[in-house]
Amino acid sequence: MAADGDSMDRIVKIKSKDGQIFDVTLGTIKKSKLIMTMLEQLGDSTDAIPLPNVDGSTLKKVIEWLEHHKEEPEPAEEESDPLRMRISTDISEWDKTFFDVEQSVLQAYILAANYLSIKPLLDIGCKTVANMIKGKTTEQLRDLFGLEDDFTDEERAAIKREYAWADDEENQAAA
Amino acid sequence: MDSEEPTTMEKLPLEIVEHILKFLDAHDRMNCVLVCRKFLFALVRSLPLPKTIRLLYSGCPCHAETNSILLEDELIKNQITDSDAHKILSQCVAAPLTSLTLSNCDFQKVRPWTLALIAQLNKLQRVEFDSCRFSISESMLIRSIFAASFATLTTVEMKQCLLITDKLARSISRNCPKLETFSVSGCKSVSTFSVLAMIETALYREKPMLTVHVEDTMFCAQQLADYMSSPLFCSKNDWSLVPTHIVLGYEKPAVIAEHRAARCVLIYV
Repeated sequence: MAADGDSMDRIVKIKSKDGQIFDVTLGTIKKSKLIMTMLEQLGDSTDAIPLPNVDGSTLKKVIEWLEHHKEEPEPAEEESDPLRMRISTDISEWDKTFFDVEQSVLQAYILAANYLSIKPLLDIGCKTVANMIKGKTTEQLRDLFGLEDDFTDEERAAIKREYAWADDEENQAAA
Repeated sequence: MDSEEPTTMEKLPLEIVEHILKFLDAHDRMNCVLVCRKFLFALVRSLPLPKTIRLLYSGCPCHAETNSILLEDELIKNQITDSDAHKILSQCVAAPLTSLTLSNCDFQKVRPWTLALIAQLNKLQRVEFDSCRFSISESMLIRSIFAASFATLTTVEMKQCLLITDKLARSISRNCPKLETFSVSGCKSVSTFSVLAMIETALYREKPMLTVHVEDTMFCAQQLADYMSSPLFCSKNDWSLVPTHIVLGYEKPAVIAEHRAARCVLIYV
């Protein structure tokens, strides 16, 4: 990817689901793998890139986030074992404020980040949800997310039994 | 929040729920998967299938990686206790293990019925035991470790094990059509008959070539030649026996037994 100043100032037009067109610089939007791929395929075309899965208000916030984090380098790709990894869920104050929204809006951000392939934004969104989950009981979580318990008692017991080692491991690590 | 609106988690695709779970510790993850089926599926999807369970039997933490049990007891020469073996084996039974590697393990304190749990692993392709001690008989060992996986075994290694006689080779040679490597090096009670059994059954195997290791045993190439030229050996005219050296960085003495029907048994001596 060309990283010289000129090309990073290039204006890219993106169009939301509801037809709003946003002008962003390449330097701002470069974290979106989807858009970078589309730009490669479109070549020098100046048509607005249609993003049929993201509505205008969400896209506006996503661009705001990208603007704020524009100077930050791409984080190194960390492939790790989901069982062993204990990733930090620290979130900067700015991001905390950014994500201090209703669940449905938070969901829209996460979905947009996923669709646009903006990994750092997706990570922070997921961390935010993870932080909401932390320390809550199963019951509290159901209330929080308004989800129905669809397990039978036997199934619940089986899961607890089968994954009991996960809890053990945790206790050992804490000890 | 308006209760009519779809909630965060309901609309999120599985891959994102899976990603969220990554940021939780085991305890929170457990509470989470008990919320509903979707969360459980997300977790199950993200769990690596046990392909190899590397168990370093030395008080080190266990690493769950691929599909085999690798049990090494090199650092401390403690005997493996029955309860530990039971725990390990009963946890592994449900996993589709294809490889079982035990080295320097002393199973003399492990009860026969605990070892018999291995018989529930019926898809083993590779069984390697190196310098292990058992308190059970060779027949028991064959029954509990190999019998269930006869149809899938490709590699059988039983090194430095005093328990092993020609019985193992006879049993394996007749029952394992996929066999490619058979090693009993260092098993002092193994004789030329083990190799003879492998040669006699060469036509039953799927692969045209079998590698046999009989280093440091009672195997004798001359004796094998004598047996194979005796009138009691049924297809003596079909086989030819050639002593050779295989270059493996150094020259390793070997004997190649070749059959007319493009079969061969390479014997390292």
